[in-house]
Amino acid sequence: MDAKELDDIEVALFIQAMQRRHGYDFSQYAPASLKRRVQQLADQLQCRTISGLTERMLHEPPLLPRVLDGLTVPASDMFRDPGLFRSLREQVLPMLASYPQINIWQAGCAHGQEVYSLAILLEETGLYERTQIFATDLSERALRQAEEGIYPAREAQQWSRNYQASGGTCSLADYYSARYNLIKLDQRLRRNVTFAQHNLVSDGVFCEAHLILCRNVMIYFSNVLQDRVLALFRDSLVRGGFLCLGLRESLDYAANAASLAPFDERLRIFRLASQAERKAP
Amino acid sequence: MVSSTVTPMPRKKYSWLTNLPIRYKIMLAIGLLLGLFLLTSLINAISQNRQTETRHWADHTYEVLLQIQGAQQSALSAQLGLRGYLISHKSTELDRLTSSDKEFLQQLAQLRQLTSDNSLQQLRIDHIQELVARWDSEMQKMLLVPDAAVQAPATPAGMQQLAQIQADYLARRSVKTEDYTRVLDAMTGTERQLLIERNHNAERLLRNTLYVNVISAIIGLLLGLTVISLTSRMVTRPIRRLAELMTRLADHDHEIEIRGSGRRDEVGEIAKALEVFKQMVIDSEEQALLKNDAAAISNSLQHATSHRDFAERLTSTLTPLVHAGVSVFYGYDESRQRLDLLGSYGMRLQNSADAYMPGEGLVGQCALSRQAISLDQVPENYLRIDSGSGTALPRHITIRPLLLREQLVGVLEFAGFTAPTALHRQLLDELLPMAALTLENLNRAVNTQDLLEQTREQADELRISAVTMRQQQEALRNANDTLQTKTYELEEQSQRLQASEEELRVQADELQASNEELRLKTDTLRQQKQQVEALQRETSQKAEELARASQYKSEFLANMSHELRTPLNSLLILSRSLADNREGNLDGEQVESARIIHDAGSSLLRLINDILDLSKIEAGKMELSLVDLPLQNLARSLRRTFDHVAREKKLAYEVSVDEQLPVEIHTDPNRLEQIINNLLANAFKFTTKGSVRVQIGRPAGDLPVPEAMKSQPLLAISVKDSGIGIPPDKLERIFNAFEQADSSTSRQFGGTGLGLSISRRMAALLGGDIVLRSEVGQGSEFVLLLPEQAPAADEAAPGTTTAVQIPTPRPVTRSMLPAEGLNDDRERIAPGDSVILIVEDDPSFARILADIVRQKGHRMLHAPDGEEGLALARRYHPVGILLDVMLPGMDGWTVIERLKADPATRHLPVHFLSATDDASRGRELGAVGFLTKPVTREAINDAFERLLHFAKGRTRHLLVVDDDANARAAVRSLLSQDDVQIDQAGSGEEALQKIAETGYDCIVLDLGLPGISGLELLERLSNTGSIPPVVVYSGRELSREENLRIRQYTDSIVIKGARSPERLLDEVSLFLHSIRQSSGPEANAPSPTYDGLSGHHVLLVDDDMRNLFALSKVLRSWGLNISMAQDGPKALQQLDDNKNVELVLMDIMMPGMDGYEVMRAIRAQPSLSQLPIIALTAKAMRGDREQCLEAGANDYLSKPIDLDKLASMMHVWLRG
Ligand SMILES: C[S@@+](CC[C@H](N)C(=O)[O-])C[C@H]1O[C@@H](n2cnc3c(N)ncnc32)[C@H](O)[C@@H]1O
Repeated sequence: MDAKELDDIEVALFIQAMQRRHGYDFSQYAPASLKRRVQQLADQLQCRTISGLTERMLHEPPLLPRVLDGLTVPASDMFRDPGLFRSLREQVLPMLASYPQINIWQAGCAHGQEVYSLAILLEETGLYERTQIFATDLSERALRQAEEGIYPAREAQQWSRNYQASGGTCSLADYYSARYNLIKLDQRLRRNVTFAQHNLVSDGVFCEAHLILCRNVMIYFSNVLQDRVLALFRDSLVRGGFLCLGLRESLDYAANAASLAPFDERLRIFRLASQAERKAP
Repeated sequence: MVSSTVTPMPRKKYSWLTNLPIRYKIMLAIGLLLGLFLLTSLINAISQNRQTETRHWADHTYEVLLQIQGAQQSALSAQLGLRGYLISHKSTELDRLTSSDKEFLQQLAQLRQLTSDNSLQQLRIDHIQELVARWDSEMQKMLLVPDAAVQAPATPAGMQQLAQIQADYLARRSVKTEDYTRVLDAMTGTERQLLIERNHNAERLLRNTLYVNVISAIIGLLLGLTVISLTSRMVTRPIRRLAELMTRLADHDHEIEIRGSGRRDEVGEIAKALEVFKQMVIDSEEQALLKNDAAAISNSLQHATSHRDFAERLTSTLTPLVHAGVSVFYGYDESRQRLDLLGSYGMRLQNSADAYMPGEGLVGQCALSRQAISLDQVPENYLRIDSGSGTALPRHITIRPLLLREQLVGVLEFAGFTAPTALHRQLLDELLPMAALTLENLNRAVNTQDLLEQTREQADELRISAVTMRQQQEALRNANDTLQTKTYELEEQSQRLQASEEELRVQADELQASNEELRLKTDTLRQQKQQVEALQRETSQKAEELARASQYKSEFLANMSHELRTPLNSLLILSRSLADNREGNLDGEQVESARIIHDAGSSLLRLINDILDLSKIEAGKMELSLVDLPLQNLARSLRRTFDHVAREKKLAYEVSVDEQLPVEIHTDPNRLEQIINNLLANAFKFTTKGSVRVQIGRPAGDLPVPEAMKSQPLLAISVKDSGIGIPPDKLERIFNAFEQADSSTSRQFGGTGLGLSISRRMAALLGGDIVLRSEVGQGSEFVLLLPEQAPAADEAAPGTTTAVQIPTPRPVTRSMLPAEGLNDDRERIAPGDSVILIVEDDPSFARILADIVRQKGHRMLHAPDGEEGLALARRYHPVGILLDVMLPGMDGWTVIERLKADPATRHLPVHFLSATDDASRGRELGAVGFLTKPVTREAINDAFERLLHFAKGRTRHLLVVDDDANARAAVRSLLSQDDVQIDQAGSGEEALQKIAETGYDCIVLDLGLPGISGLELLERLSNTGSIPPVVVYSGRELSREENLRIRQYTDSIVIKGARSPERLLDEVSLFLHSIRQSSGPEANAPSPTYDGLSGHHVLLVDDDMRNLFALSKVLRSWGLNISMAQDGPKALQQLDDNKNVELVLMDIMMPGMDGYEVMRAIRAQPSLSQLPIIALTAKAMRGDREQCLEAGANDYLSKPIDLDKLASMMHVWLRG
């Protein structure tokens, strides 16, 4: 039996152990990348083998957040892909302005950079007061960081450029205070944000959303899981609601994407067919 | 009293008074004054007493005098009484006498009492008493008794007698009144004398007292003055002086003299303390000076650049300070274990050794023992202190080691005339370690310098590195100072390092993520590529197979035709002969039959021939033999062949050749003739009267010549008839194999229908084409276009001459593959035709549907799957779509969603036909109807009617309610469509009225209306019964509460804004173009009903309004009373206000206060601790349930909610 096969067995056991021990189901994640990440995690935690990692994961509950972080890669940027944010500002939000109340679901918010970006966008377009943002993620740890809104100052430059490129009307610096080598985002931006743990794999619809951002999350999922998640989004969206995916993600293989029509093909903005009504819960 | 001696500590004798402590001094002074005061008071008291006594005696004397006076008076009155008696002899007078007498005696007794202390007076009183007693008895005897003996006193005799007696008495009496008054007078005199005496005494006493007082006052004054002067001299002044001294001391005046320290009182103590203090000040200043000196020296030392410089600086600054004459400094060379003379002060250098080994001499000894050495008795031959004015032997030698961390770095030697004082020693103690440290640093610096020097010497070319070295040296020099800051910085840096490490990790994470994305992307790309490649391979294979198959087919056909022709041939011959009935043994009917057999056989043969030709062409087997053909020959041949047909059919027949043409063309004459014959045969076939003309010339100007042929000189051979003509929509079809303009014609006129197809292909083979112009009833014109020079075989049109042409492989999607099964009318569709699209994968059912469609006079399109269906719908815009649900690939639900998502197709009515039973879903998706298989023909007809009803577009009614006429007009123009009638209302009342009159399909409602508001309007409408679909079009933003209230009636709420018209249009068309009902329970799937729940009161808490209303509707249908709350605080408020809530359904993920918090808050109220709560959560992970129960939920249900489960759960908790 060669090493690769052995690895596969170990990864499979790890996934099963994770599911049974902590209830997190990673079996529907894209196998190749998941395997790589498990391997990496084992290396980082100085486990000789993946089985070693499995053992620690089983017997050291405090390790779970670390494991989840390793498996889910909670990395993000503010105003990542400025074009998208420009389009949100200029195209999508003006459309959403016609709803009396706007719910935005940011699925897989990581450390919250996009949440704050959205809040800034809403603030500047004057829609924030009637907007509720639900920021969810699998990882509680990531959520806590997101709530804090503290990031290394080193990032601020790039983010400022992104912000400008996305059509920002002020300066990003207006929204954070810098101290030492950190920046902290204005906590007023958080006033209409609800941070909550939500697992796209297992959990259901919890709000009526006018805009869903789920960027660079489904890329880690298998097609089957992508399809499930898309159904979740479709059922959450109001008719005419918008869905934004990562620029490298597509709906090509998802049957449930049928009701989602491209709004901006290049920026991966989709819109739920406005005449299709979904079932009541 | 105070010593004025200057010498310190002169133990001067102080008086006892001076030495007396101040408190005793004060007590003494005050005691003296007090004593004096007491004495004076005593004297005063005594004198007072005496005065009182004197006054008392004076009073006594006055009393005695008064008494004596009284007695005298009594005596006087007795005398008067006697005298009266003597005169009158009245007894009253006598009585007076006796009473006075008695009085007198009394007074006398008193007097005796008063003067009991005075014997002289007593004697006198005795005498008086004796006199009185005598006087009394004489009077009795001589006067009274005789008087009494007188009998008649009133008689003169008696008178006489009396007078006698009287005279007797007077004469004889021995005692007279005067006698005792005299005594009394004497007494008075005595008393008076006494009084004078006493007064005199008192006066003297008074005077004495005065004297005493004056004297004591003087003494007191003197005493006070003395005390004051003594206090000032002995206390105040010394203290003030001390204070002055202290001030001066504070001003650093160390020259002050402190007196009085010998005194034993407090002043002495202060003075002593002050002296100590002064000493301390002097000491500390000296210390400071010393420190200063030490600091200055060490400072100066730090500037030393070399060892000699160091030694020079050390000795030259230190020697004068310690009052030494000379000094020498030796540095310890650790590597050589030797003490080297580095510098000296006041010395002739040859006087001292240049170097010592440890242990050698005193210097060496000091170095070895690391102990200071001092010598007091210096031998004669010792070094001398040398000055310009002479030399002298020093008295004292001090040798000190310089130690740094117990390590020897040098030795310092002093010699001087006086022993170093303690202060000097202290200075040395203080300075030498610093000097040692500096020397050590210097050592290091010098070492580094040496090193540098070496390096420089060693490698001149390494100058650049020398710079670095110097920097390092610099760093080294600063090392000591910066050590402390370094550690701090180090700490900080390590923190920063940690942070940046963290950042790096995050970056790495991110990098990894993007790598991951990239890799995934390439993965999928590769997969896609592979798929595409596989597909391409498959396609090319297919194409090859296809080509091969078609070749096989052609070959097969060719063979088959041959095989067929052989028996057919005999059949034809035989049937022919039978029909001829040469023997005459067949009856008419049999002959007829035989003729039919023959005809059929001929047709079959023609067909076979045609097929053969066709397959030959298709298989590339048709060979051309190109020759020069004179056009006149062609014309002649054509004339000859068809003349008799024309004659038979009584038609005019003409063949003409244009003169301008070349005489010959290069082509295959046989094929050319075959084509034209075919065209002519057709022309004659479909022409019953008129003419058939063949014109050989150039193409007419209006003839549509295919682009590809325009580049060359063309020949046009036109075959024109005046026959039935061909409808325009069939012009193209007519060239297809096995087709004729009308299938019925083929029956009427015979023919295989292959002819034109073959002709066209042959024309192509010859490098030409056939163009057709026709008008129904007027006739047709087929024009064969030919190049003057036919191309050689391999240049001919592709697909015709080459054997097998494999199309270039390209990806094929399903929809591009030929539709299976059913032949539909897509080729026949003409503008204005009404087309029905059937999306159905079951061919037989599709065919039945197709028949019905066609029967009803519509064109039929068929798609066997969803993708094709969508494509056809987009392309042909059918008037209606019959849609199956269960389709291969994309299912019917998806198809309709897609259709509705696309503005181009969203209006198309869709009717479902399905084996599944899910009518409600179909309606919700916007279908006009839903039919469940198996179906009857009638049902299909009905469905069809329904579809057409919607397709035809009945007029929809729309009401716009807005108080602003301009706004109404804007909405109206926005929404106006052909089949929509738009009414307007300017107020709620008007709207109500209009709604009562007309059944509207949709209402566009502004909220801010005069009179009843939009919201009220909605409420009223809902009270009156059913509400038509409403789109709220609001000019202002809505609060959450308003939003909630409106959502009860409609979920179409549009806030006016830049992009709102688009949405308004969407929302309105949603209502107008589907049979969907926006609200009302009938739109929902019928929910199961439950007994036993009705009447209970349930609070539903959820921020998701959609869920809130949907669930509340269901629950109401179960007979429950429902309260709703959109967030935690409102829920708590509701529970507060409404005490009869029996159960709470609690959403978990809510903004602000989440469900857990709300439940905890509920449980915190004692009155609600037992209220059943069922948590509804979207979260399904294992821990979530526990979390709910922990927060106080009684049970737990995950979303999407299973109504059965909810019902049974509610049963349990409402019963319990
Ligand atoms: C690469 S980050 C995307 C961050 C951000 N949306 C962006 O595009 O910059 C992916 C996030 O998805 C989250 N995630 C992964 N699996 C998830 C799941 N099953 N449910 C919810 N979140 C998940 C991870 O925790 C991680 O924070």
